[in-house]
Amino acid sequence: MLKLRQLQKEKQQQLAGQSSAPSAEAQKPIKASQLRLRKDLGSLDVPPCVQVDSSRSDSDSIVFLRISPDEGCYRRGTFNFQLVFKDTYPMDPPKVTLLAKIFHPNIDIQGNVCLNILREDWSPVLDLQSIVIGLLMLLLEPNALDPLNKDAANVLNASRARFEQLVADSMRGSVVDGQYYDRVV
Amino acid sequence: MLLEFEKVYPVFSWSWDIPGDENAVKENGDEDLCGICRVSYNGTCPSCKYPGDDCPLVIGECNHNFHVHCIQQWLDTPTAKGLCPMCRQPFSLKRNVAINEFQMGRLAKVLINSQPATLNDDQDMMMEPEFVVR
Repeated sequence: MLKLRQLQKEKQQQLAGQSSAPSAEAQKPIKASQLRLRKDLGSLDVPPCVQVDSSRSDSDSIVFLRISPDEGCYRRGTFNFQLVFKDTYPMDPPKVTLLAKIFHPNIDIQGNVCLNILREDWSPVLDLQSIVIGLLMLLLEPNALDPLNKDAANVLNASRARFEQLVADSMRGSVVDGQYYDRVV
Repeated sequence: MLLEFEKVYPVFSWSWDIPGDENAVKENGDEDLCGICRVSYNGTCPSCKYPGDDCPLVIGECNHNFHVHCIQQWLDTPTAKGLCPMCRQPFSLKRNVAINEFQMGRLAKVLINSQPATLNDDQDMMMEPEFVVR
């Protein structure tokens, strides 16, 4: 009986030790950028074609967006974007990267995204919601005026039909103009 | 019957006096939030602990309101170009508004300093969090 009590006590101490460890971590002051991102995630309201997954590394907060457009020439594709929120968020926009090579006038083969609100038109009143809408817009309406992928922009300028054909081909994983594009369907 | 009060617990509430906001219909009882940090006007910016005079609200000429710390941090960045983050008009404080009075000098300096040509020693002063507490 005595031993049982002792065991119980030990077990409780173990439990206490376990629970005190994460609480020490929780006591670390939460950064303003993370507070704001939490609010963004809490108020996020996205269509079913967008899935959100967030994770936290030591320094930055990372959000993954999985967008499967249900209209436009990129429909049936699935696009994984990585958003890195630095400590300076919301004063600075997150760094947005597409994790696949696709044929798109405003996305280069390194995955850099050219979207005005992620660059010169960023404002701290914008949030994750605005970025999701911006990315949906970019996939729905590629813009040939301010290209990162000049080949794609030239094709789009010359012929919309030809562009849509090349997009459909490239999404199945193929070479366009000597550049290989990833399979995203 | 004789009533004797043993203790009295006064409870006070406060909110910022925003002119023209008295009749604003609050949809589903939501409080107005600072657009930058998404915390209530009557709360604090993320770097402050106590609401009120320690973390004041300012009212823009364009009727967009922010915690002074939030808007100042934005106006200090080169991308801001001195514009309101909501409407992208040049940001200035609304005149003759009581809660703005204490912040006038402070934010005027920020606006001047946001133009690179007039950078001067005042910048260090501006960074110091000095507040007039009533």
